[in-house]
Amino acid sequence: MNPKDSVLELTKDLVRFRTECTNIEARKEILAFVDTILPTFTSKKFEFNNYPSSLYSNGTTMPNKFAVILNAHLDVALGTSDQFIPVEKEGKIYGRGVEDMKAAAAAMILAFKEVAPTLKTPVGLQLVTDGNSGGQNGTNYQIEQGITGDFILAGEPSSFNISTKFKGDLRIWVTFSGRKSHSAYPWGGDNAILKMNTFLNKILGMFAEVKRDSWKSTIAPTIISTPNQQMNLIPDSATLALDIRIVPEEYSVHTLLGKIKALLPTDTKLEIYYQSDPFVVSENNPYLMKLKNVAKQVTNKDINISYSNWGGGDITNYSKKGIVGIEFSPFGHGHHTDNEWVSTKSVEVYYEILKNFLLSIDSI
Amino acid sequence: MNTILVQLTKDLVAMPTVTEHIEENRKALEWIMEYMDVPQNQLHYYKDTKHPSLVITTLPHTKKIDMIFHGHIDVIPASADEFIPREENGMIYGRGTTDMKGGLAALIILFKTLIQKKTNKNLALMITTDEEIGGWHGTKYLLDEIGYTANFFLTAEGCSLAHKIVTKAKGMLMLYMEATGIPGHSARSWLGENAIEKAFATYKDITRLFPESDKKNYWHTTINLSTIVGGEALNSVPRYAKMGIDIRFTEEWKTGDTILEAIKAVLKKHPDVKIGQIYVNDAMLHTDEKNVYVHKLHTSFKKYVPNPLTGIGFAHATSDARYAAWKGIPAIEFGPKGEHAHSHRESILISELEKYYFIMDDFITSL
Repeated sequence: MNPKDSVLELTKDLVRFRTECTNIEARKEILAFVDTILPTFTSKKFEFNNYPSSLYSNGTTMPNKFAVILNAHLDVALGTSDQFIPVEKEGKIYGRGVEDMKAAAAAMILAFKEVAPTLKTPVGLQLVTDGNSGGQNGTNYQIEQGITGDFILAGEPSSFNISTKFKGDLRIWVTFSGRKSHSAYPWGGDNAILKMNTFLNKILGMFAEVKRDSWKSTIAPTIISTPNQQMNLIPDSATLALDIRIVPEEYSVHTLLGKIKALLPTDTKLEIYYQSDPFVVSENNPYLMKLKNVAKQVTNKDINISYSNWGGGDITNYSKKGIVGIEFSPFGHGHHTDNEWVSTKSVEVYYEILKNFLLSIDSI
Repeated sequence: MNTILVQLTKDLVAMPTVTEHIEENRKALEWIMEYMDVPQNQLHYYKDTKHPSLVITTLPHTKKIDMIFHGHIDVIPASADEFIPREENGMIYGRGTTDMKGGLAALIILFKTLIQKKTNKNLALMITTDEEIGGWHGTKYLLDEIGYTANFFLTAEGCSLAHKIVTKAKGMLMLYMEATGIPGHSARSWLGENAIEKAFATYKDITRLFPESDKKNYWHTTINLSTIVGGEALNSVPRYAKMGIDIRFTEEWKTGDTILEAIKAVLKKHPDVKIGQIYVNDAMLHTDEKNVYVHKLHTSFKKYVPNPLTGIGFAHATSDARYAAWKGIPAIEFGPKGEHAHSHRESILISELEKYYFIMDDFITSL
């Protein structure tokens, strides 16, 4: 079979596994299927909280430290049955998970298979099954078992850009306390919803309004509630959830939390639901420079260096340990929607770039 | 007198008649019927409505009454210890002492005496069990459905502040407002429109209609943001938010409908926010201070409280008196002076309770 066809065929093969977060069996089956593609490689299996994951090495041994790790998650967002039947038409493959991120995974598997054995440098292929669930049981679990690298390339959707800047993410619950009273006497109580509103106005004022996709911090109040259901009472409690995405030029999680705490009345309860710092990969990173160079050689043009609005992803699990990574995927559209597709041409080009990138790293 | 009044107040406080506990309220009404010990045709027990009630009449077989006295026996929820009445330093502590079992005890004793003395005055004592949640199945039902009518109506709502005859109580407009946004992932907040932010911006503009809302204890219109709910997920720009708003209004607004019109005008600036359910839209209580019954009561009041601070005044909160007012019956609130209604420190001075008994006795005699 012509290898250019096989990356598309493998993409479709992977789509047929219904690897939603609810489907434990499919997660095991897809990893077993990949083993049949890479039978001669040294590999290590991991499993945590019912989430299996695999790690392949290009050497005869399984090191803890790799120069480069190709990282892909094989789980997908929830879909309907028909979305697990891949359809190729008009230069696109449609199906659940083609963009996020089975096309990238297929290219990584085949590039690794074809090129990695020829390299002196240790290269790993890391395939996990909880990328849509935060990565705690996959990538992060492997990191905790001691797996590390100099440079991580994750296939998260990036529309054929290379994402080197990642917004930080602070998601919090804030519960305000007031004093209950009859609402005919507003001066007799202390309205917790209004305290919440005052805080919200102050914190919204700290963020410039962002009207388009840009490398700027954003904030959104996402959930509000009060235990009070009675119209004739001044509520004594109110809770607000905030989802804040930050860029390092403006905030770190630490500085932002400091500012938030300074705005909160002392009897307020602050719960951090999720936090990750923003991070930026240096333009001078040698692996990044190689990747850009080979991409230009393959495509005859400069590849766009971009940023990710999503702080999360498995790159974050690495960055928390100080390990550098980027996101790079074929061109696609509509992940987590009913109209998810990936461009077949870009999958093939992506596959060529990966192979050439791997071939270049022995010289770093 | 003192002993009987204090004992009856304590007996009533010991009954855990939280509004929603219908069976406890029913038992309390039946206990009062036994306590009255008067002919059955002067006790009119409405026990099969959602919230039962009792009407005691000085004359048998009549619904056309000269004057209706009114009290409710239901109370707002409280901890178990608040239903154990406690006498200390000349005070009775417990849930309902002020709101309004103290005043009700005085009226029960007065009516028992009147009936035993076979008075020829045509009076009624209406005891209901749902005032704290709106009074629809009690006072409103008795006046609208059963058809009691009178020349004057007095409810014995206690007052926590200055002791006074309440001829004016604020109108009440309770409504929900619903904001609609455009959902999306909150990491790309620019693609969505935030319903929570729309709701708060609208509320802020509505509060401008009532600039003096926060001023303390003054006859003016107030607004409260009572409830709020909105949002679907921690990482989504919210599609929906809903606010519950409670407005208490004075003559400056005339009616709740006037306020609704003003809110609609504000909403022209906020097209994604709509008025939802109108939960309550109640007119003010506004009884003429020159009414002959008010005058008689004021005369009795001054005998026992020589220098009443205000004498006749207003209340911020509403009461069941409004239902009588809507039927065209001049209505007032006048209860004993108590303390800390709706709080765990609710209490009443025994001397104030006695004073109330004597004022009401004098007033009834003058009718």
